[in-house]
This record gives sequence, C-alpha cells and structure tokens, in this order.
Amino acid sequence: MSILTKAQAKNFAEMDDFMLELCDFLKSKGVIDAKIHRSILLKGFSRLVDYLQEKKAISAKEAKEAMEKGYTSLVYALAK
Amino acid sequence: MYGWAGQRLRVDLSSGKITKEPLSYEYRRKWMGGRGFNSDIIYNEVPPHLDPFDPRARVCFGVGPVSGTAAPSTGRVTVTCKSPLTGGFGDSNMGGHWGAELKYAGYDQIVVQGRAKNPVYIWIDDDKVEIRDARHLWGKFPREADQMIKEELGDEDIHMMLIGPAGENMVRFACTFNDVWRAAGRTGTGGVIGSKNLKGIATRGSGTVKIANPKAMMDVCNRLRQVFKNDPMKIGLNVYGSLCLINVANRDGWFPWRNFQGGAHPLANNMSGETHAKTVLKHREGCFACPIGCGRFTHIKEGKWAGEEFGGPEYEHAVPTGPRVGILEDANDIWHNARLTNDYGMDGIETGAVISAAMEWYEKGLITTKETGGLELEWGNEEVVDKLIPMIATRQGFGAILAEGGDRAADKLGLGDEGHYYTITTRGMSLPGDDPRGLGFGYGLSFAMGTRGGCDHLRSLCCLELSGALYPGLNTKILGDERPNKPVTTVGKPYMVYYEENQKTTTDCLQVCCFTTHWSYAVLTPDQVEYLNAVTGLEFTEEEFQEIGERIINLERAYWARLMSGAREDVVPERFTKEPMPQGVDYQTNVGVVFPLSEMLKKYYKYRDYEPGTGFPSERKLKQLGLDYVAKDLAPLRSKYLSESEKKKKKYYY
Amino acid sequence: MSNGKALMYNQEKCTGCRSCVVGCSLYHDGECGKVTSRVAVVRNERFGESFVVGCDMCTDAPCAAVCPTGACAMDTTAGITKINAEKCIGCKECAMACPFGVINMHYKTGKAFKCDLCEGRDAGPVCADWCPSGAITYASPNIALKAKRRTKLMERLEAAKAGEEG
Repeated sequence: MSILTKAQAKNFAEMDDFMLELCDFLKSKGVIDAKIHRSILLKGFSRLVDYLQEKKAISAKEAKEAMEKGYTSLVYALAK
Repeated sequence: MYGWAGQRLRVDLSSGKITKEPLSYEYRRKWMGGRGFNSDIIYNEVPPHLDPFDPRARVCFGVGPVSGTAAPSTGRVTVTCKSPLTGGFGDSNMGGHWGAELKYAGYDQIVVQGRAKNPVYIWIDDDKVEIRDARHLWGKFPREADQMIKEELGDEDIHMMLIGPAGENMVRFACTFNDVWRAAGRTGTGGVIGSKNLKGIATRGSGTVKIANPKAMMDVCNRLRQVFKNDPMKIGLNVYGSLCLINVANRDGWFPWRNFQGGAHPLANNMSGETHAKTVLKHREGCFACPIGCGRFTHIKEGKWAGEEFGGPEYEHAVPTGPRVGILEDANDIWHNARLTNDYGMDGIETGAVISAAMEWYEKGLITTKETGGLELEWGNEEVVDKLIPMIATRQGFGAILAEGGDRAADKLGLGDEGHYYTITTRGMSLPGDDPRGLGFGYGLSFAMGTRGGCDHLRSLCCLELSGALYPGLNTKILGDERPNKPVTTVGKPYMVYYEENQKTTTDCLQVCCFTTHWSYAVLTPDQVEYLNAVTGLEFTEEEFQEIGERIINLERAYWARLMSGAREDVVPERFTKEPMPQGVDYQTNVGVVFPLSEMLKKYYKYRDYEPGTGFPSERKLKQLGLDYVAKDLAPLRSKYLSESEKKKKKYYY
Repeated sequence: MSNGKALMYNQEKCTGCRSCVVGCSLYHDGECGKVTSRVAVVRNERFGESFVVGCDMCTDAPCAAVCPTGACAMDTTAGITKINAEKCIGCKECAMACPFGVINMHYKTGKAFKCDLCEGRDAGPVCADWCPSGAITYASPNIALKAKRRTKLMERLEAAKAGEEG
C-alpha cells in the first residue's frame, strides 16, 4: 500500500517548505517514530531518504533519484 | 585529556582572586566549548536585569575542543557578555591566533568579573597568571598597546586580546580585538571589558593540544585541505577578501546605500575587492590554521590619507562607514574610516549604522545642526564622518549621544517612532550591511530571530541560499530541494534557517571559522563530527552535534525571554517589509522586492517549537534539550509576557 | 639531494596562518602545537607581515658540524641532515648553531629535533602540501628557479610597458 495518495503527494510537492509537515505526516502514519523524526530534522533530507530506503518504503533506485531530483520525486515515489 | 584543556580560568578583578576550575566530562559534552560554555555562564551568573556595566557582570572568552588543532581555521574565540547595546544576551566571535594560544596555555575559557581599581591587563604565561598595571596603556590604540606590552614582557611572539579607547569609554558598541586587528565587533563586548578597567589579556602558551586519534585526524585534515585547494569560495575570499562580495551585493541589490534607502549604486566597484587588491592591498593575512586567508592588510597610497595602514577591512567593516553613510566616490575615505573604527576600537557596523541613522534624521528634518553641535550631517560628508568617529569613541558632544547606540540616541533626542523607523535595528542592535530584500529571505528571517540582539548575519549564516548554487546537490542533500539556493524566495527557508542555526552554533562551540563551513561548504557537518571525534576520542553523532547547537540557541533565547522579549520583538526593520527595493543600477536583480517575514516566521516557530503567543521556547522543547531549570525559570513569565502591562514592543532592555 | 627536491619558502606569499605548523606537529608527534613543530611562523601583526621559517637543508650544515656525538649528521642515502634521537645527548649545540633557529628541543624527551622532509609521507612534506598560499613549495630548486626567472622577467617587461603607455 502506498504511503501517500496522489493528491497528498501533489499537496506536498507544492509546499513552500515541506520538511516538518512531511515528517509529521510520516510519523502520524507510523512510518517513522519520534526518534527518527527528530533525527531527520537535525540531519536533513538525506537522513529521511536513507531511512525510507532502509525500511524499504522506497527502492534503491527511487532513493538515488530523490537525492538527485529532490523531494518532489520522493513524495511521488511514496504515492506509488 | 584529548581536545579540551579541561580548565576554566576565573579572574575577579575586584579582589584580584584568580581561580582555576576543572570542566567535567558531562559539562563538556553538554555545552561543547566556546560559545556554549560562555552562554551557560551568562545565563547562570548574570541576572537578566543587571546593568551590563555592573562589576558583578561577567565577560567570557571561550575556545573549543578543536581550537589550536590542525582542523581548518581553529583560531576563533567567542567573547560573551550581557550586551550594553541591547541589554540582552550578547556575544561576538573573532579570528586571529589568540584562541589557539589560549588553548596552548591550558584554558578552554576565561571568565572575568569585578572591576579593578586602576586600569590593568592580565598576563597569562601558561600556568602563571598575573594582573598587571595598565595605567600607561589607557587611551592607547590597540596597535600601540600591543607594542608596549610586547616590549614590556620581552616577547614579540605572544598573542593578546585588547580593547581600544572606545571600550575604555564604555561606548555601547565598542569591540574586542586580538592580534591587533581581528575584532569581535558586535554587541559591545569591548565596553564591558572597559567597564572592568581591563585593557587586555596577553598570553603565551607553550603546551600542545592532545589528539586522541592522530592517524584519523591526519586523514580527515589531509582530505579537507585538498578540498580547499579547489573550493570556489576559498579562491574568491583569498584573492579579494570578503570585499569580493561588493559587486555581487550590488548586482543582487543588497548593497547598503544610504541607510538602506537603496540597494545598489553605479560606483560600487570603487570599493570592490578587485579594486582593493589592485590599489591598496599590502598583504593577505590568515588566522590560525586557516586554508582560506581572507584577511587583508591595507596601505593607503594616495590622497589625503596616504600612508595610513591597518589590518582589514572586511565587507561588513567597510560598508557601514562607506556607502551606508553615502561615501563611495573616493574609496580611500572608506578605508580611512575603517582604520579609524579599528584604532578607536568600535564596531564598524554599529558606528556606520548610528551615523547613517543620524544622517537620515538630519535629512528628514528630525534633527538640525542645533542638536548635532554644528555638524552638517549630509550624506557622503566625509569631513563630518572623520570628525564624528573619534567624537563617538571619546564621548564628545554629539558623539556622546551616538555612543549610546541608535535606539537609545533616538530616545535621548526625543525623536519618537519616526526616529526609530530609521535606526534599522532589531532588539536594539543594528543590521549589518546586508539588505534582506536582496541578500536573501533566509537571512531576513535570521535577522528577526538572531539570539544576540536580533539582526545578525552570523547567527544562521544561511549561505545555502547565497553560495549554495556553487555546490550543486548540497541544498537537496540537506533541504531536499535545489530551489532554496535562490536568495529571493521563501521556498525552504524556514527549515534552512533552523538547520543552519543549529549547525552554526555548534561550529561556534568548536570555535572553527564559519567561512569553512557555511560560506564555503568545503567542510560539512559529517566532516566536523569526524575531526571532532578524531581529536576528542569520543563518539559524537551528527544528531548530537546538531542538538548541542539547538540547546544553546534555546538557552540564549530564554535569556531574552527572561527580559520579556519574545514574539513581539521578532521583527525586521519596517523599511524592509514596507518599502519596495528601488532601482540603483540597470543590472540589479531585485527591483521592487519587499521582504515577506510573517509566513516564514510561523513555520520557523514550528521547527523550533516556540510558543506561538510568546515566542518563548516551549516547556516540551526545553525538557527535551535537558534544560529543565530553564523551563522552570520561564514558567511564570509566559502569562506575564501576554499581559497588558507588557504589551508595548521594546527596543532595548534592562 | 637524492630526489632533487627541496622545501622553498616564499615570504611574499605567506599569510602567517600556521597551517604548516599544526600539520607538522600532528604528523610528527600526534599532537598539535607550536612547540613541537619543525617549521615556524614569525608574525608582525602591527604591520601585516608574516614569515615562514623552516629548515633549508644546508649542504654544509652548521648543525651537523657542531654535533659532538654524530647524532646530527648528513644521511647520505636521503641526502639530508637528520637527527638520530638515540645518539642525541640534548646538548643544544645544533640548536644554537642553526643560523635560522629551526632546530628545537623536544619538551618531552629533551632531545633536539628538526625537519626530516616528512620522511615516508607519500604526498611529500606536510607543510608544503597544506600551505594554502603557495608560500612553501616542495620542488626541484632548478625548476623553481627557472620559473622565478621567467616570472620576474615578465613582471619587469610589463612594468616597462606600463611605463611607456602611462
């Protein structure tokens, strides 16, 4: 099951500043816990991508693409 | 012990008592060093409502665990006190070689308190610490005092901290120097040192810094020093100094023309790094262990000021008493003014800022020659600026009013809200020479949120938006998006400022230069953690590293909260939010821009977990950071801040 | 000099940053400090002057000439003067004899120490490797002098040309 709906992904992709809201959302869905949430905010986007790949929420290819193209690529990957 | 010296030196100038206190492992791990040690002392030992010039006030000098090591640029020192300019938390940070010398002498921090009966200086010769007579040094420029002390002690190779005449006269924005020219400019630390009758601290350190894992340290330093050889920002800074920014600032419209009435000027190149290097540069200077070498030494060759020499200037040091007061025609005037603020020992930024505010009051008819004692404060009048700088430093005539800082001067002159409109301050401290309408919206946000009296470019130093474009992929790695690498956009900025503030703060605790970690991104957070661990032998994680920064920011923020300063004071000067940027040159990129603060601010509060109403750090956040005692301090103040009696926005404190 | 290279110091370029000093002490002693560095920086802050002073590897070395035990001697394989700590008795004669003041006594052992061109370091002496301004270079003197000859000549020609135009 995908973590985001297409509409939610689009909503995140259009945000001015997405990081906190995306992390909050992932936490509410149980994808990340409070500790990882904090770790991501302290360390940045690459930590989020690494963690999602580690948890197999995204593939290695999607993770690589997210690091190249940025978070819009990531949120659509999470909506697949 | 590896990295740290493990020792705090405390000097009470009233009693002459000198003590050395060990710094425990837990303490070092919690506060890291430099800025962290200092902020902790100020929070705990300087009550919020104490007069900053009271003998009981402290002034702290801190170095960090990697100070004096081979990591890039490890010579910095943070000077911290209750700021006499703002009345709030104040610190400032300087380069040079004194920081490393202090570490080699065996100290992580010096805390000075009390007041000597007569002017004195402190002589630290490794373990031996003495307080010596400085009556003969009082009134001397730092360069003169430096020579006299070196001759007196018979060692030309020692390094020392000094203040100039402005510090002795307790000008509210006097600064602190080391190595004669490297200034901790902001928040008026020099005035507090002067109030203690302390001229300086001469230091000779013959020890070494022990490295836990020399091989790992050698490896990381080898790698980083190679990276610097081809780093784009290093090259610009080394060749042209921070004045390399002038032409960029002019193009992007953040060049502070006439107190920010404009953001660009056709003559800007007169004072660019390129011009400086061709005309007056005598030598390039490097602070301790620095792979960049942005320091300048200037020798004026022509005109009225021919023959004058001084260390500097930097961008931020040159623009305030130059274009900010309308002087740009003859760059030698700008170099001369920078020389004056250096010799007298005043923050160049604040000096230019108060003079430019006074010029605007004069232009708008709020003051006349009656108030100024005959000085015709027209834009670009070098004769008047040349006179005013020494008058401020020695508190003569109209200079005595300006020596109080912009907002206090506006009140002394009874200029009301209109007067304050032109002071371009937040929490009583003037903005540096960067216009957020062009420099970037991230910077603008950090001007509103800075924990050393608001407005400051060095609190977040969110260069991800300024030089980030030179490092493709870096913005994505941290922020998940490349778009924030454009200055004039709000995209990604709240998170950028949150991240950069945390990182900058811990960098200040390590006491390495932020030009290696923010301007230039040759050294990233993982690299810092790597050399920190190689030096200390501990296992800091990147999270812990960033969290230390967050802890210190919250502590400093809480210092302001105890002064009843919070959300209402999180502003930038209205000029930036109300007046659209005018056109100064035809290639300017930001014409018509106004700075949008409020949406970014709300989002930023969420990242920080600041209470929306008061802007104070939430109890939850403070406890998460191990600051339960701070949460307890703030508990009764939260409702008080929201009460009617406190509703008026404050300009400065105590 | 077996590899034909030497450390050369260009005072005009030195920013006085002491990157060489911290690198040297870290490489040789595993700690960082001025007192254990084989290379030194002299600064005159008031006048914006900085100078780097290191061992020039004299061919006719005064340090070796005065050493009473043969500890300080020319290593004929490496082609440089070295100090054998085991033979050194800590008499300081070499330190006194060095015309540049770049032999020092170690605070831990009491024995003399000097530059060894970072023997065994693949990237060459750390001071030259880390020097950010090009003030210290590790190169063949012949090649370096040729380059200097050319640069200085070009500077003179340019100055003469500018004089004619001006």
